[in-house]
Amino acid sequence: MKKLITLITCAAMIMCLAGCGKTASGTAQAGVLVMATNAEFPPYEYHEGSAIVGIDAEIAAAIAEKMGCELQIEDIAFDAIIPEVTSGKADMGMAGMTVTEERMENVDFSTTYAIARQVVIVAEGSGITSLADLEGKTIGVQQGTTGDIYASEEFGDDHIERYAKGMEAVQALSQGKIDAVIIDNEPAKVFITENEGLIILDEAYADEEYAIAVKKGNTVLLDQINKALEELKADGTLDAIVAKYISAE
Amino acid sequence: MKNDYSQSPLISVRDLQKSFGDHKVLNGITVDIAKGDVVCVIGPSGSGKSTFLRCLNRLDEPTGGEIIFDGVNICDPSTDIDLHRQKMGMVFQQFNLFPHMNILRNLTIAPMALQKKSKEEAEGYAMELLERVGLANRAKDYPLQLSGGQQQRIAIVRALCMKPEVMLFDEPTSALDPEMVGEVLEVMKELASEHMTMVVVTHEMGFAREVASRVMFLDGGDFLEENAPEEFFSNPQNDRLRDFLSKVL
Amino acid sequence: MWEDFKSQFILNFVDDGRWHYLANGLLVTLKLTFFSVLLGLVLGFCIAMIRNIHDNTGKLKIPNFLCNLYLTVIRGTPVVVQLMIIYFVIFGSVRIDKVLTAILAFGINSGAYQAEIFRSGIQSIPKGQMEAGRSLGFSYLETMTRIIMPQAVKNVVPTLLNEVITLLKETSIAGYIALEDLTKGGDIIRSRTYSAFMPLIAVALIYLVMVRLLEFAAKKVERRLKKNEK
Repeated sequence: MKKLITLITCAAMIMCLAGCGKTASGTAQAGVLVMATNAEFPPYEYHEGSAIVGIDAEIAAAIAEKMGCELQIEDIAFDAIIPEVTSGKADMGMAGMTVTEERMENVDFSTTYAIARQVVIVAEGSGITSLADLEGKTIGVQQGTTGDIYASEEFGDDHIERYAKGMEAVQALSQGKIDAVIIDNEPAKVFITENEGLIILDEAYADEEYAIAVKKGNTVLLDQINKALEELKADGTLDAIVAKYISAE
Repeated sequence: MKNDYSQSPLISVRDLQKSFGDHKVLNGITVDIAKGDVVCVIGPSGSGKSTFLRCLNRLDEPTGGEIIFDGVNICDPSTDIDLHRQKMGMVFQQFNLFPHMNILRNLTIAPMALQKKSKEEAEGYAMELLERVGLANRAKDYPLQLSGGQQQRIAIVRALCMKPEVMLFDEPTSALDPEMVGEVLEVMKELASEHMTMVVVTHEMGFAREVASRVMFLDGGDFLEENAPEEFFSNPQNDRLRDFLSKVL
Repeated sequence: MWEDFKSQFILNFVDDGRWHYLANGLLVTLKLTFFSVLLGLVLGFCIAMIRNIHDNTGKLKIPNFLCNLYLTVIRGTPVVVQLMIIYFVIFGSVRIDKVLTAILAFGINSGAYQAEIFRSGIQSIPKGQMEAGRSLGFSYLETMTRIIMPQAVKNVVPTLLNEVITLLKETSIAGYIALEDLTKGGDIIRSRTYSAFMPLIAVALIYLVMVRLLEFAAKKVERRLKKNEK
């Protein structure tokens, strides 16, 4: 019995300490870096065929490569990403996630790897031309996104409709069910090319920075990610990935 | 004086046929039933005697022949059978009282709804009849609180409340415990003594011998013999009837 | 431990008045359940009648066909898909009240199940009851409404209350059309506080309490209905 306990304890310690490959990485599972994302957010992450692709997916792959790990992407609801990370089911959350104070209470964030803005999509000729016109209108958001949180605070819960997917919010907008959608700039651009009659307001709703979330206190992993990001920035990989998905304006 | 052939018959059955699919149950039955007649129908099981009775008020739809009741061919599709059924009371083997209504309601629902009797009138008459079958004290009870014999007496009263011109009995004592048969037959005897026209499908040979004005023998869907009870039982002509009587008497 | 629990509780339910998400959500859930059951009751009753009349008299061929089609489609597809079809396809380009949409979807769904409940209720009444009614001179419809249905309804009340309980829990998918019911209310809190435990357990507890209350009511009603028959 005692031997068994010792054995289990040893095994547990090895699991905890062992990194992926030969380096100590702080990932939950040896050799694998599990990334939680919500693959409904082009061009950052979306499904193409059976694979999940996009800016985040490629950056994550590059980071994993630097760490000598195999990348495993889990597609879950956006508002489940942080719980997934805090519970240790995923090593990191990467989903066009903006750094906010509340999120920082629950997870640690890496350095910023992209700048994004929240924009407003409206129907052409809707009469909404500026942020001021949004007052009293019904606004669709993707539940749990920064757009949701900011807009809920600013316009009040009664004026916000929270969809599980950004795509559904945009669909509701193009069907005339709601007046506007607040969402990140890059997916917004994709959505308006796919849905006729929708435009993005010139005035941005908010500017924000995307970063990678890891479990609070997992400095081992955080340092590795930051180091990898720094190298990727320095050698131009990061810019190349972004340029591949986002054509210059 | 039970037989009164001076009038035209109350029910005149002409070449009545009934089949269920390919299976022929009645092969052309012709018989007249006069006002005041008490006709007992006997025969082995499967002889078609119950079907014959149920065809008389079209609970089973005849497939051929005609039934003239009160001068009207009730087999004619243009006849309002519901109207004629009001004049033909029926008593079932399984009583079929309405379990969700109390006794009094069981007795008054049809007179009030179909004959537009006032509540007072319908209840007055129902109580009068209940009194005569000795069940006036059970008026507020529900059917399932009563014994089988009591329920069957109530079922007879329910039919009588419509003041029918003829009463059809479909093996009224077959589902009863032996000790309850007597009380039901007693009520039927009393009815016969008041010159109610009755058609009774029964296995009670004693009742048939004592009360019937005529006894009919059916076997295999054929109407084989008919006679006054004395002759019928003591001097049967048909071989199959002789055979049947030798088994049941 | 206790302190941790307390601070989590405050974070999830007290801060920013977050309990409102649950309270308002509960109200929506109750509204959805109540009106969907009513709609389902009407639909189910009518369908059961049509099918029964058809089975017994051979009339109403076309309505009966439509009823069968409806039952096949509704019982053969998940309710969440039906809900989205009604919201995004049938009311594709209309601005329609979401609660109304959801009531339609859940009501139409429940109608199919309630139709079967009524039908089995009608079939559970012995044939002799119909014959007794008809032999007194009542028409088919009169016998149905005066004699068969009152007994059938009585028989199916317990099953119907079960359907209410099922429906109450099924409405938890209303969030798919961005309707903020109880479940979605909990989800919104989760998306704000990033804690899974408190909001989910609270939502589960509220459902559980409501289901237990309904079960309690069902038992009472059942006992009352049985009283008259013994």
